[in-house]
Amino acid sequence: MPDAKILVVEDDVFLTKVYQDKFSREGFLTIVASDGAVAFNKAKKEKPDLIILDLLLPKKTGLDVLKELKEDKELKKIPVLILSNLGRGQDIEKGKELGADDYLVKADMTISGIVGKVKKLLGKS
Amino acid sequence: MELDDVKKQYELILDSINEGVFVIDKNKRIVFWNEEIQRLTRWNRGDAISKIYSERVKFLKRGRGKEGSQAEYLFNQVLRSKEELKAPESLFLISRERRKIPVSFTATPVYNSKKKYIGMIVTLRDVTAECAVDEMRTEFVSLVSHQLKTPLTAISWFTEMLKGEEVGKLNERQIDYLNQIYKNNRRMVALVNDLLNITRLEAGRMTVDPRPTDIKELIEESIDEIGFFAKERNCKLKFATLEEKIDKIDIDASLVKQAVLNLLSNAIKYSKDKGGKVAVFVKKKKHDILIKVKDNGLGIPDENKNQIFQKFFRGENVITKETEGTGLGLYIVKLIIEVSGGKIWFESKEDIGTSFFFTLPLSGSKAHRGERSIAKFSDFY
Repeated sequence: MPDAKILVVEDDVFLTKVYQDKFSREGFLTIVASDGAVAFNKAKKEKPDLIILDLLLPKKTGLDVLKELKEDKELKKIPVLILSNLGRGQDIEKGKELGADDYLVKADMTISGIVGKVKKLLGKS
Repeated sequence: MELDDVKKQYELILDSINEGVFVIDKNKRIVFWNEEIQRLTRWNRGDAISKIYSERVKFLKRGRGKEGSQAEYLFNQVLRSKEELKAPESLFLISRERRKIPVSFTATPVYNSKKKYIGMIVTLRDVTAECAVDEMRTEFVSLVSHQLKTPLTAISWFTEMLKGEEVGKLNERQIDYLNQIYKNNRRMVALVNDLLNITRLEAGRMTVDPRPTDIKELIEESIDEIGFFAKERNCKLKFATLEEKIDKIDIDASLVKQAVLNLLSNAIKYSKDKGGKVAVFVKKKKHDILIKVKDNGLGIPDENKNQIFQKFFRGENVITKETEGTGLGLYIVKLIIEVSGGKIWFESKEDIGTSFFFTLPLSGSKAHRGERSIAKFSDFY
């Protein structure tokens, strides 16, 4: 799916650069939100095809952002992929309960593995 | 001295110590109640003496159970076994104003000269401070490992793209060097995950979620998962199953699988360089399932045999051969098997090989609701 639009919610500048570089080579359009407070507004404005969501974010946690997204009529259908280094059972449960499509631990993933997940989710939606 | 004076003196001694002490008679009525137990329970001596103990001392097991039944259960256990009982940690005392205080508990039955049961002495120690330190340690490791993982992830992903020639052609040596960087980065991630898992296991904060599991299937999956590593090392890896069929047992598959993977990766790593052979056997016994992982490798020197399950310990004969090990693998296996209700041991001869054995109870593992589950160990060891 060329030109699919991905919103990356991530506060670490290095990881953000990886997502941007990799996704643009894969033919995706990348938009970045670097804290929890702007994430929702960016999603509302840009209507991305998929959202990559970190959990530990400045201003507002990823789970709160997820809740907001899923409460919004327009945005709740957008697939959300949680990518966090928090590997706690309770966070994973909570994330899935709130409607995230998948929960991946960053340090356990390759970037090409993430692209694979993204493509799969985009194909599904 | 008069008898009353002696009694008073003992009471003074017991009042001055830092442990809550009370004594009950054979009818379960409180006959002695020291200073510290007053502080812990918030019940004064006057309100406690001659009351049935369960009206004044209530316990709660961390996470589940009814508070009344827990005290009853402990006391009955002492009466049944007729021996001193130390309760497992993670016991809360519920005070008069319903505050929860973590305590350690010791109960000693008292018998008269005719060996007749006449009562029980119970001591309780407030372990709030110890619990707080434990909590801090776990939180600290969690925080540190999370902070370490973010830059490790960035290094991993950039290296992956670079060595995948996504931003330009590279020559062979450049790719080789990048592979070394990549592997070492994965090692760091594995180490961080190991430390995290150990902290969780040691602090009893690891979730144990037993579900019906086919142990043969679990072993087959583990062998599939680590097959690439055996191939890389020219090691023959086989599952020499002796049993036709083993009924499912209730174990936490993700934990046990991690233990099997650690044992397999060790066996492969330390098997012979040429003609290495690793075999897994499973056998159903009367009360448990016995699993054996056998290699034909370096073996464990006699003088190291009693240290093999220690944290950060590595055999003297393997440090020079395999520089990569963390010395945490077997320690984690031991912790996992113990929380699963099993036992682990080994037999080994230097230059002939080692067999590790562990058991899992047919009755299954006990569930434990910690707030964490096992962090994935890296595919690189």
